[in-house]
Amino acid sequence: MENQELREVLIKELGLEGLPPEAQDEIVGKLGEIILKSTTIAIYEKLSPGERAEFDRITAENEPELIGRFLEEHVPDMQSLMETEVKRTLQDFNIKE
Amino acid sequence: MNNLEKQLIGAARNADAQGESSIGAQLMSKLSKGQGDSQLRTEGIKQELGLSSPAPVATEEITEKIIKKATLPNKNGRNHRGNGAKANPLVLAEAIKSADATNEAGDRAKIVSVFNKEKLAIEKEVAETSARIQEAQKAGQTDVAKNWAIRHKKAADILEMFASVADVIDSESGKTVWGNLQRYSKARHEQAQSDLKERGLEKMEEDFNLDFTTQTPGEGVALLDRTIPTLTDVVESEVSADIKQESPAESVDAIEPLEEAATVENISSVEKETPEEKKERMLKAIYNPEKQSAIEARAEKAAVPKELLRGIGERWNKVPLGYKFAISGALILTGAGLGASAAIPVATVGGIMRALGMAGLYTATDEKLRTAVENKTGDPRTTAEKSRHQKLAISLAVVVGLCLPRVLHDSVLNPLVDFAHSPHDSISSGSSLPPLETPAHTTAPITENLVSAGSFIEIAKPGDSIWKMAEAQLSAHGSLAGLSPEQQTYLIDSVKDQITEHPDQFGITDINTIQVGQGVDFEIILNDKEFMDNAIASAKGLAPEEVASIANYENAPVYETEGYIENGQAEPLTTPESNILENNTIKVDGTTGTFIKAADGTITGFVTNGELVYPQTIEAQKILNDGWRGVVLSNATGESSLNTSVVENRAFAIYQHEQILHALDQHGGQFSKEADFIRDQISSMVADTENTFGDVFKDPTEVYPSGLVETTEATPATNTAPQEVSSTDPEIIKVADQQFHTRVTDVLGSKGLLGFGAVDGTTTSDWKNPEFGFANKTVEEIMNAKPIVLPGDAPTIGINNPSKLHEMQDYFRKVFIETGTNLDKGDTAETYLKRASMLSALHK
Repeated sequence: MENQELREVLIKELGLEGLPPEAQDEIVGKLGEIILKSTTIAIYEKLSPGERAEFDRITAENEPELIGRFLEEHVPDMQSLMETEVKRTLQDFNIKE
Repeated sequence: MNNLEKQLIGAARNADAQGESSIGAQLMSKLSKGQGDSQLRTEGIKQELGLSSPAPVATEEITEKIIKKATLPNKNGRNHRGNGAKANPLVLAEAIKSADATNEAGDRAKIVSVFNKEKLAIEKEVAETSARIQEAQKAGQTDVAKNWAIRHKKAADILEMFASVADVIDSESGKTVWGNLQRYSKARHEQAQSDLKERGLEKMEEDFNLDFTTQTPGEGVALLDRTIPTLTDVVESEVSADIKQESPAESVDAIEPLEEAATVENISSVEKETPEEKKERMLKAIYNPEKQSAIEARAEKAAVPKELLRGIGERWNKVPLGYKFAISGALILTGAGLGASAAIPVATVGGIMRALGMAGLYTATDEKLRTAVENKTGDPRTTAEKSRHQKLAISLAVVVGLCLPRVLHDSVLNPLVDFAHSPHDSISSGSSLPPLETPAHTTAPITENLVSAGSFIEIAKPGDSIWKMAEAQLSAHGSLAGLSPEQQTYLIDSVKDQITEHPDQFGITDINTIQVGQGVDFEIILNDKEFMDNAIASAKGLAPEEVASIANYENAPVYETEGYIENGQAEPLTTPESNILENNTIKVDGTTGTFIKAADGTITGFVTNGELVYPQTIEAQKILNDGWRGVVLSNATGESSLNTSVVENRAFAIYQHEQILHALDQHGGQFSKEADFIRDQISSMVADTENTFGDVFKDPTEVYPSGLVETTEATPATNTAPQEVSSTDPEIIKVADQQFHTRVTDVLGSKGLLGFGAVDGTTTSDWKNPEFGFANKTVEEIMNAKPIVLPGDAPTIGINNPSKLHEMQDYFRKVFIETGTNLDKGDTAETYLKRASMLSALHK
């Protein structure tokens, strides 16, 4: 699959057809940032104060795999969490009804 | 006043204007049991209804209520946090007017005080947001500047509203008069009423088979005689909801000019909106300060460290645009459960993971998902499953990589590439995305990470070939076990042939254009049991003469056997040994250097071409002093991000020169005229750069091996233009001229459709206007210019055209990075672009 195909799928799914490419890029790019922020917040919301401290400690160790394992253990529904945040973002920002 | 009464008055007012008796009057007549006067005008109806009362009394309680409402915090909060009180000048003006009507001097003074206080606050905010925009622009934070610009616009709008209603307080009489805004608002409500009335009357006509337009008053009454028993119900039921929404009394308070567009927008208008309107709506939505504030509030509630959230934005800004799109795509398509079969291009996956240093996490996640499915079904995962797994793995890796700044080192995401690769270049054309630097803390090469976890994706690294990559994959998956070297060669070649024939199935377009950092996905072939069984069987069944033939290749020099075996010929490699000064061109590790020579052999120029990739980028930066960014910021004027980019780019150019010099040295060319020329260029570049930006480079003896460069301190050179190149070749001049016109047209003109409607950018006012056109403006002037709002009839062309200015600034950054054309002092847009075009033409 080429980048162009990915682009076409995404543009269609988001209903951005007809917009200038610059605007499409800007909207999709900004959405990505918002989703990342929302997902981060959602992760924190899932953690207890003690787990947040543990999370801080692990992230300080610079080991992505450790973080992955931590999230797997403490946020087992990571996939649905992300789905929720994406849907929330798209709805909040009136991009996709 | 009930809704029907409002309807009647509205109808009567309309008829007043036309000097005719109205349907409202007729209705009034009928409602008053035939005793009313069908010739009544609005005032008459009001009196009949008992509504001709004087202006409402502004008691102190009402005044307080008005003030409170006018300053009530709401979703259009005006301060930069989005939670401040929002002044509503219109409401305040109405309150003053109301106080005038009741001669309540105390109330009036109180409201005027609030009015002035709010106006001052808004003025302050306009100044503050303007300063923030400049700060962000100076720091190169484009998105931050954009957000401030939105808030600035909002504050400026409110300030304009204050100005519009300022004449509500007449300086001579001290009384209130209608302000522009009030007149506007009144007109809006009347229009809304008119529309509503039309809908209501149309409904009545439809339901009761009436035609009000053709009825005389008498006929109208006769008609109403038949319909009046249910008329009131109809109007109430069909129109009341709308009237409630748009009645004058309520809308004056509720409709705020800033929200007007959103308020009047309805479903049908969205459906009919033009692309431009759609764009505006969507951009407005994603940059809505209220939404941003909501995210911040949510983060605060969840105790997310502020620096963490801010860091996400900052790091996101550094992600190359092409990657941004792919990352967003992975997040959105996965999270929203959309585009199940849409896969992220393998090359892009490699690039993103490489950029984030998240290869390990990505691979572990992908493999876990793959294993789970395959263990469950007993079959290889389907394409759709693979696509979904891939996106999930990317999403998790990206969340970890970008949301946890302490995991990453700042050097991971090089902002330079943001300029170099526009999203359209990298995405639309399907070209490979820029390889980025690997983070300092990631010690294991990405390829090892991927292969060790059993991945089928092989990421190209410097010196790689499709042959080597295939060998690595076959080895990692145990396919070479038990085969002789010749048999292994045969098997690797079989796999390579498959990729050559169907590159698209492996995530690439051409095996000859694979770039460092790009990924090749071997899953489809290594999981093809039939193919692999046949290929291995063929390898094992090679005839002795075939084995001998292959062995001959293996005994050839290293650089030949490592190439692609194709028709018995070794393809050239990109090692220094295989390409040294051929036709005045030398190729070294991805860099091509070309000497430009006069007819007598004198070297007149030397240009380099080629993109630096990791680890070259890291090596190149080593020639810069520690703290060089601070030196640049303290010494140079102009846009800081551009300045640092200039210095970094010069460092890269010097590094490329040094590499070529090193290659010449290895081939005995250390004292050649070519080597001398390159040394001179390095000295000139160092001097030229440090003259402008300060002492940014380390001493040459600290950096370069002895003998490669002159060890004397570089002498500052004046009037030195290392890339000042020209040509007398008519063909090159023609190509350069075409490129120049194309470049200007890219920004200011139009290519039209199939040539129709094309506009050469150099013919536009934005380019050639003597006063404002870009052509004669210096690049420095353009890059430092800020978008301004011009008063009155000032022409918005060229440098005064905010959107074109922004595009031109972006374009200069792009040209600068793409062509490496240095900026000489006093360069105008025209001279710079022409030189860049000439350089490109010479490269070609």
